[in-house]
Amino acid sequence: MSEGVSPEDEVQSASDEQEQTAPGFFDILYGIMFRPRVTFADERITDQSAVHGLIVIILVSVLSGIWHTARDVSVIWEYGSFGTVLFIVAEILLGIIIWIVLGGLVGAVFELMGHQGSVRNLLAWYGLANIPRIFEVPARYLLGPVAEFVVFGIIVWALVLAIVAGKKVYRATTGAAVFATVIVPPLFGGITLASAVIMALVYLQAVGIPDFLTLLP
Amino acid sequence: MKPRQIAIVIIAGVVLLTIMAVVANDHTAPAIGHRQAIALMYIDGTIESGRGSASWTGSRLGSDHICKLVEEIRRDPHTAAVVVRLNSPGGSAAGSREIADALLRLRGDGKIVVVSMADVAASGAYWIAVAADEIVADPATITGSIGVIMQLQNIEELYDKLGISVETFKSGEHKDIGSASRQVTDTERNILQAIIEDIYEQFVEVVAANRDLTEQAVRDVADGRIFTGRQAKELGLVDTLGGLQTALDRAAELAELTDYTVYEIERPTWWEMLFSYRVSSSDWGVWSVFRQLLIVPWTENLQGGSL
Repeated sequence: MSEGVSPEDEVQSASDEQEQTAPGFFDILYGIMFRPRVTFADERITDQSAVHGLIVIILVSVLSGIWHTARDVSVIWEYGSFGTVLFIVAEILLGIIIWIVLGGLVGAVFELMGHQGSVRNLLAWYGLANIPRIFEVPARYLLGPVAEFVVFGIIVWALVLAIVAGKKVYRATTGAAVFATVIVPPLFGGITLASAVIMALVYLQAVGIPDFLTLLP
Repeated sequence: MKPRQIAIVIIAGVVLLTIMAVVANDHTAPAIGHRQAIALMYIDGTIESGRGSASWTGSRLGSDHICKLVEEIRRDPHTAAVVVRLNSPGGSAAGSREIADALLRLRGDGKIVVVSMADVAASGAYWIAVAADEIVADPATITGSIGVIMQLQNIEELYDKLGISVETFKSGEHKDIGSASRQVTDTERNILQAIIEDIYEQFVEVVAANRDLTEQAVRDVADGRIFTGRQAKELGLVDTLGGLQTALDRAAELAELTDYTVYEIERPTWWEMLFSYRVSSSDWGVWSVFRQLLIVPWTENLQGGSL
């Protein structure tokens, strides 16, 4: 009895193999850094766990926190190791909060513009898009006077990846992704800040603190 | 190399570089902005000249290291004063003199030097202290011990019992002065006593010159005895009674500082701070948190169960 393989079986086998070799977490990180076009176009890696994004956000925050406490924030020395630990924890929490708030905001903007997608998936891809930011500390450490320019370039790199991520998750146009990712968050932040300042001034006027009232027209 | 391996290597490399960056920064001077500053420098332990030494049983403080720190303070334009926190029973005469001279150079450059005596600041440590503009001591501080001592051991009889004989070949009569394998001769005793007397004279001169006392007044108290901080103040060996904060306040007053910051010239490294064992309102490292959360409650439960 011959054991031939039917064309249907071959297709199934190839599909299984493709499933088995689907890129893992580190493959995706490599792809985002060095082959973003191929990686973002890869249909096999559409849905990502938000945990993957969270891992990258925490990694970036920890590296940044260690660097800041060791180098930039001299006041930490006055508060001892508690201050050092607290600062790093605060940087992690701040990174996570910004990641969630911005992801939610950008997702809402996409949906208001009529695009369909998952905010959870967007958070995952936004987190992964931050992977170039791990190079910020080595750049600041190694590059001296030109470090700030390189760091600015790294931030732009991460921002471009975030735009592409938004395009992928919500299947949006480039213009819509730029609007949702680059234009809206600063506008929202500015409006929030202005509202907070106005509310604070009104409150201070109500409770009567003369020093601050002189700032008002 | 597969992409995932490259990604892992990159991330590991970045983490390693961050660690290197932190280590490199552990030795930089603290940023103190544009405010005037008071440097706080600790001198703990037995003093010796040279680079010092450390072991599990304790450390001996090298004058080279202290002088280097003093030189850093001298070159820092933001530092107007230094408080030297002394907690030492003394040690090498040469080492003490080197440190005292470094502090005098600091004063010569217009910086204020205040010494704060902790538990003990005696003998060589007092030699260092007299180089200050002002000495602040706790009433219970042990200080004084102005004098010089040299002790030699003679283990000749032990050698005899063990059947060990020492053969000495020397170029001159006194080349083996202080040898432990024989009695000290009268001539050697005179030579060594003369050395002790000379160092003692230097000590008395330094104290008299810097404390505004006559040499006779110093000799009256310089028989090697120790004093409490309060007794020392009555004798004019210290200026003010108080602790570290008093010393910092006096340094600020003498330097005419109103808005200033205080920094430790030899601050703990980032790693020491992060993994500190000490627990206080200002020092709470990772290991301290671990200890407070896990070990202390567990040991308290054990103690509570005892009869």
